[in-house]
Amino acid sequence: MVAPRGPLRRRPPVVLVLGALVAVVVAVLPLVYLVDRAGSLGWSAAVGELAQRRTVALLWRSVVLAGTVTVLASVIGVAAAWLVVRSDVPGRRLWSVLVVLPLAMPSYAAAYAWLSWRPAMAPFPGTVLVLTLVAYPYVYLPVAAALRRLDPAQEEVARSLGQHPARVAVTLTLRQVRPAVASGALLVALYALSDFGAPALFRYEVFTFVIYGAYNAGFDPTRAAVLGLALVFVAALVVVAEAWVRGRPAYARIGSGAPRRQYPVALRGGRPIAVAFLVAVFALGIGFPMWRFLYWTREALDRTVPWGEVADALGHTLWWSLLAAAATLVLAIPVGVLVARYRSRLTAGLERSTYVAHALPGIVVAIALVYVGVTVLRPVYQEVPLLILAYVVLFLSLAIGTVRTGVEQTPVAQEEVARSLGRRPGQVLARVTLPQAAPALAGGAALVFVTAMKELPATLLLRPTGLDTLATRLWTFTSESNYAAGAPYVVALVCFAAIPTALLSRFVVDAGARLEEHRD
Amino acid sequence: MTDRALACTGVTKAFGGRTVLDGIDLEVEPGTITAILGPSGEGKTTLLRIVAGFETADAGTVAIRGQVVDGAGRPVPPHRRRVGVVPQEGALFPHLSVGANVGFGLARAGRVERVAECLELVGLSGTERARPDELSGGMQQRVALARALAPRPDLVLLDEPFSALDAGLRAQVRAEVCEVLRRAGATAVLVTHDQQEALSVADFVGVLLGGRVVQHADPVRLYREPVSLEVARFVGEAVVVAGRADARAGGPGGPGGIDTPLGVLVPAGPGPYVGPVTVLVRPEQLVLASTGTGVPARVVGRTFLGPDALVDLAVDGLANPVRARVGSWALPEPGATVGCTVAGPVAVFPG
Repeated sequence: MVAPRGPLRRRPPVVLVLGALVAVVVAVLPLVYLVDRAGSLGWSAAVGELAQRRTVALLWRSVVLAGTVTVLASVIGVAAAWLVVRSDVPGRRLWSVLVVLPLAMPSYAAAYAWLSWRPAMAPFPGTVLVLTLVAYPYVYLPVAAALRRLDPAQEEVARSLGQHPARVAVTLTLRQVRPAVASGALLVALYALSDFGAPALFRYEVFTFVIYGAYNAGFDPTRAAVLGLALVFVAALVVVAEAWVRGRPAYARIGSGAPRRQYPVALRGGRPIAVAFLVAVFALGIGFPMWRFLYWTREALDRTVPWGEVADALGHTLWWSLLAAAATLVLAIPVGVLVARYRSRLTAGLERSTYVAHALPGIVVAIALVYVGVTVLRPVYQEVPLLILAYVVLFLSLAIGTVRTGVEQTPVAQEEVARSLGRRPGQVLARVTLPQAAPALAGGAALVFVTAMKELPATLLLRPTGLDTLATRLWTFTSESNYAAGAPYVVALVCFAAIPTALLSRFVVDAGARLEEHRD
Repeated sequence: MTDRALACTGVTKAFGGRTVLDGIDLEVEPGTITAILGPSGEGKTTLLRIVAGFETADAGTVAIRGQVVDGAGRPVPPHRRRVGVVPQEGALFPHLSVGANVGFGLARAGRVERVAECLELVGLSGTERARPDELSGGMQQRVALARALAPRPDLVLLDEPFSALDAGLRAQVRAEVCEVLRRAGATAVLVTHDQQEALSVADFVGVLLGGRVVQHADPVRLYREPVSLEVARFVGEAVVVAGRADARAGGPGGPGGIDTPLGVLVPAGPGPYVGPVTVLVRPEQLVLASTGTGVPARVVGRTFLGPDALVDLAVDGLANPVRARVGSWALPEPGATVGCTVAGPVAVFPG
């Protein structure tokens, strides 16, 4: 890794700026709607709505849930990443794929599996369990990638200075991956704040659940907008906290030491505990839910499964998710490149503003886009393009992070050489920077693809009339507690989502190491 | 003026209040290799980056072949300067083959031929299809050079191009690269902090100290007649002794001689020198023999280096020992007393 040296190229290419502006406009679109809507109520009334005892209690409950899930998921994610990347735990290559698979499991599907086993499960522990187990890969992925990039010589020096390996892991290794932990924890916190399916199924009253109620049952879009704004405010606080925790990025490799092979840390007597930990995480996150679904699917096979409907829903799911991944990537590239190469207060602000949408519950984004559809984009209302737009709004921040990491891995010196060989900035981007960031770009696309496959609330509201995805079909059956009928849809969803998820660990985690080998 | 390959006039650059370049004046003749020699962190790389167009100067002008590229109106962007760059570790594009790397800056017409020609120039014919990571460090550096030369630039800039190579390979790659530059008839500016590198390969050396080019001369002249003691110490090891010049005929050293504790020495410069002066002697100028020749000196320390050795000598009239560089076959014993003479002319500074 070469530290991105800061040549002050004051004017980024116009194309990039325009692209980034489009991305930001798209990302803050729902916010504009929320403010407009809440404002129509009058500010004093909006504040009154927020100050209600019930609303404050609700807000507190969401914050506690998000906080608990973030802490637990960070601990699991960091521990799993360290074991898989830096220790000699048996089967590291296999584990590197298995530990990210829970990403393929929708939160509502996992909740549904647990409830089908113990219908009386308590709401708070149930929601925390499910959200933690499906969200920890958001921490695992960046941390594992960062661990791969660390210079092993530093750990060796610390060992030779008389430090115990465990102390080295805590004082040196973990401190260096702190920015990666922070960015992963940010995603988990925003995910936990905005998740709708799991709390809804466990009947745990959090913000998203109540917003859904306000919109759907009472059809009170103004109250929904005010509550949504409160959620955005909390999310903004989380984003600021992340910037604070991340600190200054003083973790670049110093000097020109060639990166060398990392030797795994011997766990010795700790190996059985390490294996038990990974097995437990896998069993609870994926194993148990899949066992329940396969059990219900077998039950369903005794009756007739409408395979044609499953295939239709699968087709829509795959096609729309693919479109979402492509569109998101196209908009994420300008923002990611600007942030990585033309770092300034302004570009950092651009990046962070796209996180706002990630914190918005899918249902709020969907409501906002329904409004946009009805008023401005009438021709695409309840058509595929509007649904794709919703996905882009929701998942843009996921892709921007990976694009940025990928671009930062190309040494600036290469771009400068390309410029001196007579290439314009745009050509340099297309021929030097982006091709090398390709693994990271593919990783970002895979992440968006998987997340779009699982997306429920926005799809429920914006899908073309009469067409279903696996997620929306499943939702129909869960609301009727018809586990047997829903199970084949989950099995199809998880199996197909598992493929890009498995690729994800290769792209995101190995990309850094692979690029470095070229420089040996 | 217009036929200068590069002309920097008063180039100044500060980063966050710290002045790195403080009025750089530098002229480079076409077809020559110029080394910019300076300690680490003295702004050598910054100067190269300004010439290449990756940074802009705060003040002053940069002209390439008479065309002002920085300092008059908008700076010419790097891709329109016709300046080739070879960075520290080559910075080959790892996702492209060697051929595609070399052809990166070429138009489609005639690309294949020119790539083959350039690879032949650097002695790597037939490696077009290889991937950069299959090459050794030295080969990668030669590919980087071929890539920079391919579009026939007006100027090639090399930024510490050999520092990433290990010592054994370094001298060899250095010689090869400079041979290639000369055969290609290229004008090159090479940045280095290695005195030996600068003195051995360049036609001219510019010494960058304190943000200024304090001396710009050919290597022999720079080494023998540095403009200041600071430059003298920077380009090589220096023995500095106080002396007295006497212009009178019939003085102790005859006309123009400098009287020092090491004997009466002959100044290299024209002089005239009068009164107290400071004399620069290079360690290899101190010749040791048996007592009776020159001034007596006692061996107080020695460092064996293989082909030669450094001997520290205590001499009457000097507070500190002086250091001589001698062939390692003639190493005196510690504590022995030897006779010491100074061979050749010495640089003399007033005061």
